[in-house]
Amino acid sequence: MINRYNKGLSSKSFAILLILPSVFIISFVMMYPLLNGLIMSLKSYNIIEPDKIKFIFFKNYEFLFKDKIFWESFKNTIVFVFFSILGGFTIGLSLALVLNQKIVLQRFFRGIALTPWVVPGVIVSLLFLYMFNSEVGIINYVLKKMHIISEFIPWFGKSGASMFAVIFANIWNQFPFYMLMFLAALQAIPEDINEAAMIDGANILQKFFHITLPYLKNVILITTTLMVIWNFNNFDIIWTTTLGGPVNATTTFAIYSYRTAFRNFQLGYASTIGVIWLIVLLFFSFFYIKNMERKSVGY
Amino acid sequence: MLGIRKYRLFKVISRIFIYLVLFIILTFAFFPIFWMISTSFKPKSEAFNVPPSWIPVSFTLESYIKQITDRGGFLVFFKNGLIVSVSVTIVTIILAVLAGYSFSRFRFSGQRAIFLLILATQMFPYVAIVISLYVVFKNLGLLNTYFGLILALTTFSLPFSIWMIKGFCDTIPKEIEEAAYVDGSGKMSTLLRIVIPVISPGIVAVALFSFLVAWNNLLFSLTLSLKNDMLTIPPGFLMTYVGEFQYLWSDMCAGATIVTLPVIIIFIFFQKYLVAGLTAGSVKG
Repeated sequence: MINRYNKGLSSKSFAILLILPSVFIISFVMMYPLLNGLIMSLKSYNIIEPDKIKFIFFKNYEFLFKDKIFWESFKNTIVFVFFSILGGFTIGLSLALVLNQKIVLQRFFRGIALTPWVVPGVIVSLLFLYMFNSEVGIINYVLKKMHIISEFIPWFGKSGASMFAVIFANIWNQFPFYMLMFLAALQAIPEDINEAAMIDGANILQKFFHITLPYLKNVILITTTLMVIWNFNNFDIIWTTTLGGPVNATTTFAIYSYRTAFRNFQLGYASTIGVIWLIVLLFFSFFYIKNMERKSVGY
Repeated sequence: MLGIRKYRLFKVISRIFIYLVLFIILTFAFFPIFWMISTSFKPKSEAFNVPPSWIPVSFTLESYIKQITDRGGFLVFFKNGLIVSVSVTIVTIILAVLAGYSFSRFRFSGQRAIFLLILATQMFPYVAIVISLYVVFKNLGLLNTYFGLILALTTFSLPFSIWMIKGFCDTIPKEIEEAAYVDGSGKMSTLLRIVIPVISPGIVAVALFSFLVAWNNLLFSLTLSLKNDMLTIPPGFLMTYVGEFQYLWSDMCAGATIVTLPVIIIFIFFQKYLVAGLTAGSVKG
């Protein structure tokens, strides 16, 4: 054991000392604000009337369940998260499967395919605002040329279209992450298993469903759960392109609670939305932590 | 069994299909970036042309010169972004190496709970955190300071970084350190002299990840920095191009190219480290 040869600090003190700085700042910046948020959700807390801050207990929650915009944001969050993941997953997996074949310039193509992922959300949004623009947007121009639409559409400004446009931009930004994870997993499949399947006369589909998918199972679970969490938190793209509008068509939990806090200054009510959001996420996180822990802790 | 002819035909068709899928997805991936670069070299009016010109008809550097001569505060945002992101990267590396190593190598009661709690912070609703944090920072006078923003963004990138470093440490054999201990090396110097060189790919991964988080983050810097001269690039661009200078597409694209291209190049250059870090633990099995 490591212990035996050691002088100075005991292993235990040393171990605690090493994690102390991280634990300290995570407590201060994450844990404390979370607990404080729970308390704030029980208060009437308007930041421009600091003398009127008081406990109202579950009134915010009562109000929340009757709040139409809250339910709309709930629905929007689910739609946004679900279709972002569906799109990103499909494109990412297809690309990973293609790039896992022996093709020319493989590394170069992978490099290009990864680039959308490092572009900041605000810049992704500005680029798509330009490309989807109702007067000069190139996407409108191309779609009209191809006779898919008859006239330019104000994508981000129209209720039916704005959610689609936001999700589209988001998928562009995120699909490389799926590709990256899936490709790494595909390359970890031992070559001889594929060869054995070939010799046994398995066709492509059989190989995909009986070898590739089972091997990818874990990484698919981890990646999608991670993306559920990240997309619940997705703020940059929606806030930059639509501010949650038109009306509330793209208002998700993240947008609704931010707007409630920093536009309407209702910090208490905004925290209430945050608490519900946390509860919904905890459901997903449960699976996420269980998996991540099993993969990495190895107790 | 398939005849050899049929098999060859099948091979050709599947090749064509593979390259077709590749072509479609890569067009989707690269077009917006191509469009950004192309537009950045157009004069401001050409960005409004319908039909659009695919490559600039009258090529100009005007938009770049505007950015570099600080029209709309670009240089201030860039400077703030650099100060904040570099600091976040350095602090995250130090904290993540210490904590990740500790979680990988030592055992004490309560350790598992702490590790899980740190991982769990990634699921917190960040908007709710930032609302509370705003109140805390306001009371402590940390709004509009580099220190406050660096603290917030470091914490934000720390859990995943600790997880990555732990993953890398788990892969190195204990014998390496035991040999050092036998030679009379202390715990800290073993970490610094023996372990850190071995896990340097993990450190590169953490550096890339935390830099990207800080450089790209909108939510924290938008909320915790209220003065224009304290904004980093994302909130700065938001204020500029969704506000005052809306529809100055060429300027926006030039600015976007300047802040994005270096990151893309660095990322492509070091991508294998980040890939190794991101997939540590989640791929095998």
